Amino acid sequence: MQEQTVPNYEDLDPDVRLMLQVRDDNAAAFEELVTRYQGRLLSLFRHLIRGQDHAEDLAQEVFLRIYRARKRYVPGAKFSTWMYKIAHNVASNALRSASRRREVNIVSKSSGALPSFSLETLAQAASGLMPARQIDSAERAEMVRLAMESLNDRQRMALLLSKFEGMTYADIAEAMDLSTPAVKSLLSRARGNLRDILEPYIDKGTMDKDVESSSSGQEQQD
Amino acid sequence: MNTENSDFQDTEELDLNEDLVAYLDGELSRDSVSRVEDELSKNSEYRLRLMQLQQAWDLMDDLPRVGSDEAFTKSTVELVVVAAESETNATVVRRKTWQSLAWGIGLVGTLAAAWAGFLLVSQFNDRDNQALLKDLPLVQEIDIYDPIETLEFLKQLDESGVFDEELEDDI
Repeated sequence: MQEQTVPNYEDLDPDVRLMLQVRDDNAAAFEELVTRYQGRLLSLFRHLIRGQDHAEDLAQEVFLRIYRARKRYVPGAKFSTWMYKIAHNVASNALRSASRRREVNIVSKSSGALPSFSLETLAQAASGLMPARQIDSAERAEMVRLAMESLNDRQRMALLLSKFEGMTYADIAEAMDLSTPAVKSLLSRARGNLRDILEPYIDKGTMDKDVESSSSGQEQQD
Repeated sequence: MNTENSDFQDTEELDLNEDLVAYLDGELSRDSVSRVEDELSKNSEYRLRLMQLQQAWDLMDDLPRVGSDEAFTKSTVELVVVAAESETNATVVRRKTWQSLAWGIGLVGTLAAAWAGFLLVSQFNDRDNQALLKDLPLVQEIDIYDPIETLEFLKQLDESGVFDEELEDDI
């Protein structure tokens, strides 16, 4: 059996070094970490959970947890992986609470028309029932956002970590408390679902120019 | 049998799809990369799927991203400062509580030790008193016993029955 060497994250990752300074109560180091990661965390939470204010609250909750955990901090992974593990826990708690609230709302309002409206809109737009025209970037972003919302929470989280944080399967597995094969499977389903939802939209020709440019490196289909 | 075949095909398809995504993510081993590229070279549906997966992936670039915000940094740091202060206060309160508790335990311990000491001393005193009480008849008759010089003589008197006669007389 091969012996695996544990990487020295203190040497490899400058953010780990910053976190070690935070452990020693260096306030400037903490501020630097907040500056470096706030945008990434806010983006993540905004795509995971509705509401800008809520995203900010959650991002602050992550930083607060990081601060509170500083004395116990041991660099056993990249700083970002450790931070996203905390973010995943915070997001899971928030999504659980949101889901409980939604259940209560559904019962009280007796309304079943929740995400289906969004998907219907998406399907309508995709099927060409909407007037044919060039869709601009904001509309495209809205389409993708709706498509993302149709994924389950775990698929969305894994996809966001992979896409925007460029995290490896191993790092995502660490952050989400999963095995690497489970992440592989999760991302495959997530990207498959996203493709299925956006397929008519991609194929309708509204994206032809973008598609051509983005797939110029790909092999041409038969 | 057909179901088994279908299951097998589904599993195989699932594996291929997983490998296709992992291929795009650069997460495949060299052997698996060869397998995927081999499949891509001969399967047009597989190539189409790869392209669509990539297109859907590229569309995600349109999702808005949030940049750095000084106000957010400031409010986060302030939040943490408040948390740190309350943490410090809580630590001080906790320390004071422990100190008070330690003083209390010390005081109770001292009182208990004092009480135990008192009980011990009183027990010794009682034992002396009881010994005195037991010897009281002897002390009272000390003038009678005093002329008798030895214990041996006293024993001889007892054996001769002098005291028995006295007892009978008393009865």
